[in-house]
Amino acid sequence: MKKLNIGTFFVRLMMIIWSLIIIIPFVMLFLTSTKTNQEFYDDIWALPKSFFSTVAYNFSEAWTRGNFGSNFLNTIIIVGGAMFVALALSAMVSYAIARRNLRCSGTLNSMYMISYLIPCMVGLTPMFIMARFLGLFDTRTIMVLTFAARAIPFCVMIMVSFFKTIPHQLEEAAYIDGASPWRTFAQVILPLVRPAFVTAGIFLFIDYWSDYMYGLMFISDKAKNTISMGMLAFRVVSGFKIDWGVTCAACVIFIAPILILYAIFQKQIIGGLTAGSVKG
Amino acid sequence: MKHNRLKTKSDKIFDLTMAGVPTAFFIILFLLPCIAGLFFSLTNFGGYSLKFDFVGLYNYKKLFNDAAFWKSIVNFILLYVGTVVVCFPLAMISAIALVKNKRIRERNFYRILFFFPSTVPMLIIAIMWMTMYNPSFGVLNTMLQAIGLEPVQWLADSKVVMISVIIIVVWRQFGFYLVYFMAAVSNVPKDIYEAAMIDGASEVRQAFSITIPLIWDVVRTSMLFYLQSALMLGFNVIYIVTRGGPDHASEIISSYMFEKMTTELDYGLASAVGVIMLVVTMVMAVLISKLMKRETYEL
Repeated sequence: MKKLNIGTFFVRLMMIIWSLIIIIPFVMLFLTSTKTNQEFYDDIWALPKSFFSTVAYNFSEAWTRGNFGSNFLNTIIIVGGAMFVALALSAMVSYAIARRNLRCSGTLNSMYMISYLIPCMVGLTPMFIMARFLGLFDTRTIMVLTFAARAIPFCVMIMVSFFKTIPHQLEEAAYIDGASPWRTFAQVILPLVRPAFVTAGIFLFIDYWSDYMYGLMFISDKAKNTISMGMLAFRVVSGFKIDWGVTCAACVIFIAPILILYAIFQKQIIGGLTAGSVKG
Repeated sequence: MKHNRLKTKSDKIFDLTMAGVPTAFFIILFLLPCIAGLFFSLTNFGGYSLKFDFVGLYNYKKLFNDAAFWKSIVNFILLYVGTVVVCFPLAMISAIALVKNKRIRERNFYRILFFFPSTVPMLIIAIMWMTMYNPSFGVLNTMLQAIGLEPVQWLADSKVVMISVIIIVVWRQFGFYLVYFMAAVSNVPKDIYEAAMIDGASEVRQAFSITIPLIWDVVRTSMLFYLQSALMLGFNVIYIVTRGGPDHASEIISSYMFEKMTTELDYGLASAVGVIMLVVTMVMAVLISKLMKRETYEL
């Protein structure tokens, strides 16, 4: 006979309570996005009365108020560009650190590790001043460059540990077959570290997608705003009448891509992050 | 044996490009601005013009005479210590309990669910929590009143507001560290536990004498890396939820700096805050790695 285990019961109880604490705010968010403001104020827990018409109104209103349509292209350019630059550069330097037996490998690695401790806000003001001098203020270029630069230490940390797991024999075989180091890197090594790209890439996407601080800093032209900057239009300011249904609908639109990515890639996200860092 | 063949000239060009180009990019766009901050903090750069003068240590004097600035440093330390003290021990215990308890089959469900908030933009989390904190219809006050307690002014009371900020950060980060520590715990080799079991060590004893010492390095490293995420997370919460208020009661260094930059357009002063921010985080990093040092065991 199986006896009831008090320890297991207690752990499970705690985990279920925490699950509820995590889930309830999200349920509230989705629920509110389907309700009118009046319904929200009457009873925040009640289900919506006329589901489809309210949803249609809330989401279309959120879409126009948040400027999602016109900010979409900017976001794609900035996020895509920054991801490409950051991943390409990090892969190059990680490969050099992990596999090329350089004399400065150790120094480089610790430089990136220490840089990961530096808050990216430290260099933000000087970066802004420098951008003004170089005429890069209010361009998408400066967004791509600064976004990419701040992500490199994190990517290097993840990628170095991935590169170290590849057997040396592969590079030796490629060398014997007469492949140049460039070709070895591009055609033998890179395909093997695809998981590192997926993990780092998703984290970068989430980071860039949610960031509005750099946008507020470097962009003043409304036509160059990103989606996260558009979201600031929904910021809750006390004293103003807040349209909760529309606000929550905007939030739902804003997290939808992340929700989808997380649902597809949760194994790579969690696995890749912990594999990269736990081994040190 | 590692390959030690002689490097040809094309190999050397390859190495130089692979290591050099990204490092140059990184130094110019990340490390150089950090150092340039020292220079700009001695100027009165501000407003919309590109002209500036040297003002010596004026910016620092102005900062040190500003009570809100000191408060922002204290609040940042409070935020960091508060979240670490709540998050880390709980995450450690839960990680050990989840990994070691073989009866809990739904472990992976918790892992996926708890990690999720740390991927959600802080902007959304902040808006969600503002509805929860709302004094009249928020979930928290409704619950407090249901069990007969006084409603709390979560965001308007200067004594409570930092706690409210800490709650949001803990809510988001707990799962992240839980997942992190779970991976570390499951990396501890099984045979050590078997040996301990033969010696008759209880499960609690095993946790304290085997698991925690062996994962301590991971814990310490994540504490260090959490320093800079705390600055960013704190900023993101405060910028949306409290705007540093009421009366600078929830200001931390990063939000203080951002305010100086965007509303007062005082870039010289903001650079000085940046320099101090770097000093504070580095001092804290050194302190943490000294204080948290324990004998570590190589496996």
